[in-house]
Amino acid sequence: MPITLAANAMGTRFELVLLDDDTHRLRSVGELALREITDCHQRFNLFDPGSWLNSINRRAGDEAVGLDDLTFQLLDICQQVHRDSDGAFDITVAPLMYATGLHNPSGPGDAAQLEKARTCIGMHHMHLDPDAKTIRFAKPGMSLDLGAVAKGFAIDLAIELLQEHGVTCALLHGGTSTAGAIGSPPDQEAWRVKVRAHNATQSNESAITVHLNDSALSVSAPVGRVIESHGKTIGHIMDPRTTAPASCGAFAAAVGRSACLADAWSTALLVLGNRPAAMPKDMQAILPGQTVAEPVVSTTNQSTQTKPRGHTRVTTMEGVST
Amino acid sequence: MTETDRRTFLLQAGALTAAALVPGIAFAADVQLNAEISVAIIGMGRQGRSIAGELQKIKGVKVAAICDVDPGRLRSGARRVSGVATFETHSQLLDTAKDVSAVFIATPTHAHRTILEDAIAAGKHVYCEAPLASTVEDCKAITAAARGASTVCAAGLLARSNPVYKLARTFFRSDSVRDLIAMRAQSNDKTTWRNPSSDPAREKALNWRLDPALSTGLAGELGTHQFDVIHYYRGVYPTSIQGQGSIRLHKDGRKVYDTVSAALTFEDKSVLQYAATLGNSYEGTHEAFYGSNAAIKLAWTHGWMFKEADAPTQGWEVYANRQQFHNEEGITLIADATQLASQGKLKSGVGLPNPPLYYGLGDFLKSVTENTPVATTMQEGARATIIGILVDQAIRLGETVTIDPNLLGEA
Repeated sequence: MPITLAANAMGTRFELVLLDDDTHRLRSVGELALREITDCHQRFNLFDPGSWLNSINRRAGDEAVGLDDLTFQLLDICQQVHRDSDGAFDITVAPLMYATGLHNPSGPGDAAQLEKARTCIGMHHMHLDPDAKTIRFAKPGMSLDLGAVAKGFAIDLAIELLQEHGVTCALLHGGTSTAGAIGSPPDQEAWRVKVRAHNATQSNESAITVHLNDSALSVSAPVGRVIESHGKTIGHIMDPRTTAPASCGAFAAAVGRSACLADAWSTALLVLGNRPAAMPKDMQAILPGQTVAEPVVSTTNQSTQTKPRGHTRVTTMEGVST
Repeated sequence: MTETDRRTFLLQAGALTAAALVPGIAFAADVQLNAEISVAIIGMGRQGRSIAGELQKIKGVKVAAICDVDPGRLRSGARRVSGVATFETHSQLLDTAKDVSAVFIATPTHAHRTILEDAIAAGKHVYCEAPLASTVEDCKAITAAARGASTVCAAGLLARSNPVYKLARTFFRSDSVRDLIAMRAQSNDKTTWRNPSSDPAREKALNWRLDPALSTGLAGELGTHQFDVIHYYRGVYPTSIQGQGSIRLHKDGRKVYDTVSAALTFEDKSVLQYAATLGNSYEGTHEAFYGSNAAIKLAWTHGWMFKEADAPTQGWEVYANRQQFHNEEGITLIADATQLASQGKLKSGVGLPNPPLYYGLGDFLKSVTENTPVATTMQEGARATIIGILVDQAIRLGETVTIDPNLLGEA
């Protein structure tokens, strides 16, 4: 029997659908998984001055800050995607997001502040020491924004916990833009997730169906928050290589074993507009106009509709009785 | 003093107190230690992990060792602490981790006493999560051990370390609230309170809070913190308790109530209405004091004052940030309002920048490294714990329990 649990975190709603006969136990396991997600929210929330991320941001310019295994693992993934995407993915854009007003409720800063922010962008200025497990910023004023990967990382941790507790069938999503699956629904081979472009109609004709079975999907799009700055409209996706708003396609999606990697790569793909050679071979890139050549498994009746990141509507779970 | 004289005195005292205190308090400053310290955490469940997370943010603190009898929790904890030694039992940790000078005890409540006694015997400074124990006998043993200790011992009750609560208390004790009419405390959440384990044999041990023989129920496990707030503000304990409870949502065979309420009556006939549930999260956890001039609502990271229309206006209010709650306007209680307003940062001062736990841990570490007084002594912790145990008893029995003041005095 399926049960659904949900929690608000990272500015959106996370939802878990779990299937098993022992619903009492399943609910308690699901609560534990949600706690992993809210824990990630508390630790990696850029907008909470008391978060672990902001503690790193405040201190790493002055000293090497010791990192726990999980934080190091997350930053290591970010560094890996930064390298493989030729800098299209970059978590050091926080000062730029603040200076442009995207992360500053008081609005955009002046030209000098914007210029200063630009000088401290670049993950090559972030030094991770794998032996000492520390992080250090080479430039003053640097700070990290994990908004592009935190949801995926949280879903990975939740999935890991669910599996440790024997859950064999589950679908999790964060704000309908990042989803992870354990196994498949009973008598079916995969969870079907539909990806629709932001401007698409409700018709499923324009949707791309992705099949998830022990895999994850993330979708990014240049929709959502925009601001007016110095007479221009700025979207929330920045190209860290140029420190200017990215010229994006309608959306980009990535499918892989890890929701965190999928999250990072969907952002990188949106900025790049095409699949780079260094993208891991076991990951799938989905861009507008493409057909999904090799679904993970065959079609089922279960589906989740996933809208690109930035769209705030809740996922619809077709065919899942909750 | 006549009633008119008293009122005049209170009005003056209140206005002066508020005006003087608002700019004077270094509100919610980051914890700064003068010395480095190596510590250990015993118990890596939810609270142990939270402690690890907050300690990680304090410069100069090295979490050198952690311990949990549950391998899954120990493994999970180790991933969240940099370069930490892991132990299965507290005895192994105390025998081996000699460089550790302070321990944080975050195990199930009924296991606190033995671990605390062993830690004190090993010469460690001890911070013990509250409630301190699940029986009155263990409370007395814990305070006896703390009295005999040459090290720092502190109870994990956070009101006395919480900058919002400390500030609001100055308003409570001034004319801002004035004559106390009533009190309310609630702790609402929607959760099973059930802990699964990857090892079914461990499930019973992990679910001690649902074991009537070990658990002090919602009133003991959660209410203790709120009963301590009432005592911190008023300086008195209740004299009798009436309680009741039922299982409203989680009909999974449990015996421990998921929804409870109690009325705690004080000597002056004022009453604290207490309610807690695991079936609904509306308005979460908070305490409220209703006075003839204003009500104060405290929700751990935030505090508000709701003034009566006929209450005197005080100078600091002009700078105050306000929030609307249906028909009520709450003045957010923050210090440094004048300074923040002049910097255009009034809103950034609303609420605590860190969780209350951070400030509680910081106070303990300062007591250890700088010999400052302990924020919450074991005696205060034990008395609040005993109140929690007695409220749970009243709820279980569905009867009135009279509190023997000697019982609290012995702790």
